[in-house]
Amino acid sequence: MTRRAVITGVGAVSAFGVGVDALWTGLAAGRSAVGPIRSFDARTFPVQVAGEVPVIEPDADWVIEHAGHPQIDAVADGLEGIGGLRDRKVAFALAAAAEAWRHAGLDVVADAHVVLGLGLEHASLEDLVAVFDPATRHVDWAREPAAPLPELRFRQPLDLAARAIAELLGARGPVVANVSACAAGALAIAQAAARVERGVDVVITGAADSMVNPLGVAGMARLGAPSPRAALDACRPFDRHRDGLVIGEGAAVFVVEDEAHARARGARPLARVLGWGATQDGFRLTAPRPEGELAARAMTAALTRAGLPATAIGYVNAHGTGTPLNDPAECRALHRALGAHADRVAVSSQKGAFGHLMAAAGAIELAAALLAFERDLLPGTAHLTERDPDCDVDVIGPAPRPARIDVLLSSSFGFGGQNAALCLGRWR
Amino acid sequence: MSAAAIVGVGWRTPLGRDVAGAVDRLLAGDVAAAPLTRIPAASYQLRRAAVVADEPARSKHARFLRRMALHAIDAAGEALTAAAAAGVVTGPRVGLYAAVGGLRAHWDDIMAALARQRDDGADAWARGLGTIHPFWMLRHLSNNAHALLAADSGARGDGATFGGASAGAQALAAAIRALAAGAVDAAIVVAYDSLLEPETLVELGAREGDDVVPGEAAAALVLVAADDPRGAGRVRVRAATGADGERGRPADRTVAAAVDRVTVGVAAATPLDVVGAMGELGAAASPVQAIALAELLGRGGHGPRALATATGAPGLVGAIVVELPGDRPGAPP
Repeated sequence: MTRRAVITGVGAVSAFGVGVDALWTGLAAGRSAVGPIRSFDARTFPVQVAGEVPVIEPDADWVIEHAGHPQIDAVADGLEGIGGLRDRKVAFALAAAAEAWRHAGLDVVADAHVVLGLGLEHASLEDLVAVFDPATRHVDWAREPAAPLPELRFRQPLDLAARAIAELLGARGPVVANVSACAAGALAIAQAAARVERGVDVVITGAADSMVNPLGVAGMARLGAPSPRAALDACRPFDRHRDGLVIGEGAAVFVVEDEAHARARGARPLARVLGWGATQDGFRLTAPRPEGELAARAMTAALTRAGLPATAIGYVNAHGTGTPLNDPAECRALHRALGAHADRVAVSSQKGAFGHLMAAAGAIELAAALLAFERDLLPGTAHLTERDPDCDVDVIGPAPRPARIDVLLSSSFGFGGQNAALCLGRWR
Repeated sequence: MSAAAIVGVGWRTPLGRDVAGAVDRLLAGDVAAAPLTRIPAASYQLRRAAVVADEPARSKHARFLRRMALHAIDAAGEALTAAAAAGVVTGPRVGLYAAVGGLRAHWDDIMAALARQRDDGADAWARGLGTIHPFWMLRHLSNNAHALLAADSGARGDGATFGGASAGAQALAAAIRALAAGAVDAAIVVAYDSLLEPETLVELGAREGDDVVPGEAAAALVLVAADDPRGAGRVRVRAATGADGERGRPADRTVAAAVDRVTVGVAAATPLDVVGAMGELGAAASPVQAIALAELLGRGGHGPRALATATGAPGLVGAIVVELPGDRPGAPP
């Protein structure tokens, strides 16, 4: 019997707040959650707005309050004791995972796998300053500062959030950290679905990321990727006047499960994972192929795996970064992959509403796209006022569009040209 | 558990860059651990290490990649050259699966930006962060070696970058699965890690005392499906990963479960450990093991199959089986 992957649980932490309902309600209202950075003093930074999760410091108490899981006290306290929660994405991942698990209605599934997309290792500016030696004008890594540094200080383990989720949920299967930059979340979900098709009953997947810290924002600002405008509408995907992205943070976690397994326990799936595809541009670290050829191939691979024609797609949840280069390249990719259907299919990007979650972008945007199945609403494109003629697709404006669709396509493109596409179907 | 045939290898290890020569040293009982002189480590608890002695070739990628990532790209070039001799040509149906242990930032590049910072982080941009190099963030991008290798190699198919302690086994397993599913016609697996960074040595020493010998390595393999004629007569590899949620070393039962998975359909294998002599190799461990065992089996006298495991401190395990193919002339069935 063919095994089919379905999504039976979702949890989200975003600039809209903790919980997928906060995300869906905000998007359904056509709101944007981008605002001034509050978790550190960014007043002298050229980038002063972000899609920041509304918490200054997500400590153990915050995680315990928002995760609401019987095991969370021990896990959160343990992480806080070694400094693990200073990496905001770890806290967000735990809250989102606990929500997804509750949503799925699962108890302990000992052989569950964890496949999580994750961003860069967290580093704290304060820790580096604490061991900086003015005499040598260099950090003395072995120096003991007056205030002891936590056990995890200069180099938080890359896969810490994935392991923390496994510990929280009692999952004892393989733990995989996908670190394929901004495509990591989408690729993790694809890998999770593939594992289910191969025989794993339950996979906890999704992604978490946060670069809303001094070093993260400074690095991105110097790179020139964020919009230089410190305005709430700084990110305007597909708009003629777009000038860059807005940094976001958060997590989205899904329970991907074998359909028969879900049916047997009476679960109501949210969607089917029908297909996926991945390619590599092999072009430049910071620019996509302008003609979108390889991105299109990833979309085509997703459709092929789903066994669907392009005309089956009712909505495209675009990567849509709001950068000058990405958006037109993505539209060309859509035309290549979908042909004439690209003129008709509805397209939107949520990065103007909650920012670019980097490694978690594909995951949070897939959670947003579930609005299409849950509420028959296609999320809008915040701050779009004048569509760029180079982005010649049917871009949904700031307000969500009521529509009943059965199949959606979600794209994610990473720095360095890592392309991923996911195809989801309504479950019935 | 699917297998893939190895058609190209390249590596940089503490025992050398030439596979045959390094395996000769292994068989002779050489151990790479030595007093660490590459970086000033006199004040560190860990002062012995297994170091890759060579420097990477001069490369335009040096502005983006650190030393071991550059070694990985060099090793991949060698693996692809060998694979080309077997008829593997890169292109749209070649996958690329990369593994990195950690993303250690180019801290040296921001020291000037730290000099005037306040303890509380106030005015951080004005006090120096505004001066960091525009490419600083790109230099520790998690998939930058992957991206640059994709550009160099022409691999345009499926792919991903994996991170963490068992990332090398994950990359191997993903490549083998993609080949078995027909998603790609050939797969490049590249893994690199170095535990010889100052902050890693400090934290490793604080956590594990001097029981551990930190190492570093880069390894690359080119694989084709086990039934691909281009892999006829070549050594096969299988890979599996496991975890148990423990914060320390994985429990024996976790290692045993991973071994059970990787040996499904495989007759008894001889356990061999070739990494211990090179130190802790982190994410590079499983690919290094695969290459070393392929060389050992290819020489004969070690049985038709070998098994290796690599464990990571956070309860993670990777297991590989390397075996001579049934279609190899003179090989056991």
